[in-house]
Amino acid sequence: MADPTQAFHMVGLSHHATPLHVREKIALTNEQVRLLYSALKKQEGIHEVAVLRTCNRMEVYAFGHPQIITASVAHWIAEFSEYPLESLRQLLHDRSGHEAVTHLFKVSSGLDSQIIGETEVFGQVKDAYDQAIAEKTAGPVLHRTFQKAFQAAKWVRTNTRISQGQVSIGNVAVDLALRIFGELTHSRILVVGSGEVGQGVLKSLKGRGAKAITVSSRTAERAQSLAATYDAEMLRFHEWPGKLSQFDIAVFSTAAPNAILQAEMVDAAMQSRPSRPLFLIDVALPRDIDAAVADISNVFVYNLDDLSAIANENLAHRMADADTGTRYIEERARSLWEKLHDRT
Amino acid sequence: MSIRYGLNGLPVVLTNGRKLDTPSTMIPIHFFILGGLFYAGAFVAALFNSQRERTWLKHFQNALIVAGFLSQTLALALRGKESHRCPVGDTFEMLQFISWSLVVIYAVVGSVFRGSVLGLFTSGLATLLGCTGLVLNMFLGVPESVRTPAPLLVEVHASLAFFCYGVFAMLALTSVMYLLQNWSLRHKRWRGLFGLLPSLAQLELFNTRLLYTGTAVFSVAMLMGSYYWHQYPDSLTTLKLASTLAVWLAYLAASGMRIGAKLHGIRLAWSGAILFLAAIFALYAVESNRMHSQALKNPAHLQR
Repeated sequence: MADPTQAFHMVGLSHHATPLHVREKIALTNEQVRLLYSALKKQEGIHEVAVLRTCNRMEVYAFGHPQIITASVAHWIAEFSEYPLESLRQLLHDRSGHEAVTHLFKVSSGLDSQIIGETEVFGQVKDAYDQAIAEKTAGPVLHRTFQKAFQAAKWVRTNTRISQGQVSIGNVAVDLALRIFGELTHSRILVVGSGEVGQGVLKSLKGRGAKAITVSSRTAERAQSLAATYDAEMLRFHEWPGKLSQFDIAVFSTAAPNAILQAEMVDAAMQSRPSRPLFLIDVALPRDIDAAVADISNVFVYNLDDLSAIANENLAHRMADADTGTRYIEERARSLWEKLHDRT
Repeated sequence: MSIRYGLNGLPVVLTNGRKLDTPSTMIPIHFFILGGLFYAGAFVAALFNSQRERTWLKHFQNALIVAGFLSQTLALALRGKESHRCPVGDTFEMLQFISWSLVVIYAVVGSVFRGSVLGLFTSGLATLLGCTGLVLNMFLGVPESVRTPAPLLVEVHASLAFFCYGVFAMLALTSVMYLLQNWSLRHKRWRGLFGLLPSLAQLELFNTRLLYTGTAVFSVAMLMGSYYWHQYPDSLTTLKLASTLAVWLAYLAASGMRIGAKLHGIRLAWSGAILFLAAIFALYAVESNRMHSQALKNPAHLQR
């Protein structure tokens, strides 16, 4: 980097400025990414390259001549995705030197993610680095920068709370279920209705190990579709009240105008399972569960407002700690950049 | 053996002509104090750790608990060696022994619990029990126990019975954790300590196992005690007999109800917490009665 025309450079697009439908058009396949590596490797003025792809971003980190990097990346992405070059240039953002290092550190630690603190991106950055090594496009600058980015990400995750607490309704519901039952593998789950939020909760429950799932909907086709998607059993809509006692978790997500679950029904169900708690999740609007149900012993009722309040508070805590993480990242990035500059 | 009374009006016990209260008893007292300080330190470390989890802080907390346990073990061993019997001769020793047993149980079950939350509760209760004993010993002038070597059967009975108190102390802690978790879920509190508590199902399982274990071992201890009492009916005061029997029957009834599915969830948790408090008060009643009996036997003490 003694040559002032050479720099660590980043060019790409992300959820910050590019809407989902555009990102979908520009998304490259694995084969196209390999071709991109191949093309950039041959390009004069570009010495090292790593391509990062996530559902929210498509970024190229490179060491070389910044203008050549930006121009080449724009050209090849437009070529592969068949997206108009001029329109693509307006979407692309680039950063050089210290700013590019800071950006990579932030991305790795989840500080630049759509959901702050999400941890999946760390693995995706690692994959990008591994692929760059496999493609033999990672040199001393990329090695050092990426390894420092991983260290910084680990520090942020360990020393701040940006990854703590769930921020989606489904995951919050799962966390609550785990606080009651410890694990979901042996819990029997009933889903009444086929509302979108209810499906989100079901997806999260399934993702965390729930196996015994039963769905019930007024519309048989919807129930069938849900049962097929989540490998669940079906129950006729008029049958679920009589079988409520057989379930540990019940998710209500119908479009009924009034409450469909009354205190007397839950009382009756609890008579045959007094020692086992019942977790009722009401994500319907208007509510499916009568407010009096919450007073029954060993029954825990959470509605959409409760779940949203938890998710929002968790998000607020993540945001509050994001500043601490950002300050640390900027300091580390500056330090690394100075060392890289001095060494070369 | 002869008993004399010191300037503070408390009995100074001589065994085979050797004075036992000072300075030799001061050494274990210092170790007890040291143990209490380590437990208090572990409690503070666990409190910080519950707010923001740090691996080093958890290791530090565990190291403090181990240090406290070693100090307490040494103190109890010295105390036992000195008196030639299991060190449960007065309220101070009883509380220290219960606290020690509690930490032993924690060493067995602690790793099952997530994070440092059980360590927080255990070190907190161990500190409280130790401090209560020390306060009783130092400021209220609890007398030294009469130090006579006891038959092996009585020793085993006493040590088993007080070990059970450790199990019941752990049951009280997991019961309190259950009540807190239940309260937090009902009142929609999820941050801080509440987020670290184990699940209701896990706590219920622990409560049940601890109740059964404690009751079973306590029953064995009672069996041994009753055999000795049958041979020497005058060895027990009525109050001690009644209170011990009441504690045992209460735990036995709770276990029976749990087996019959009559006691579970929040009621089991309340029972675990309340029964332990009652058991501790029963200990105090027994000890008060013992002190009172000793004083009555020696009018010189009353005059002072």
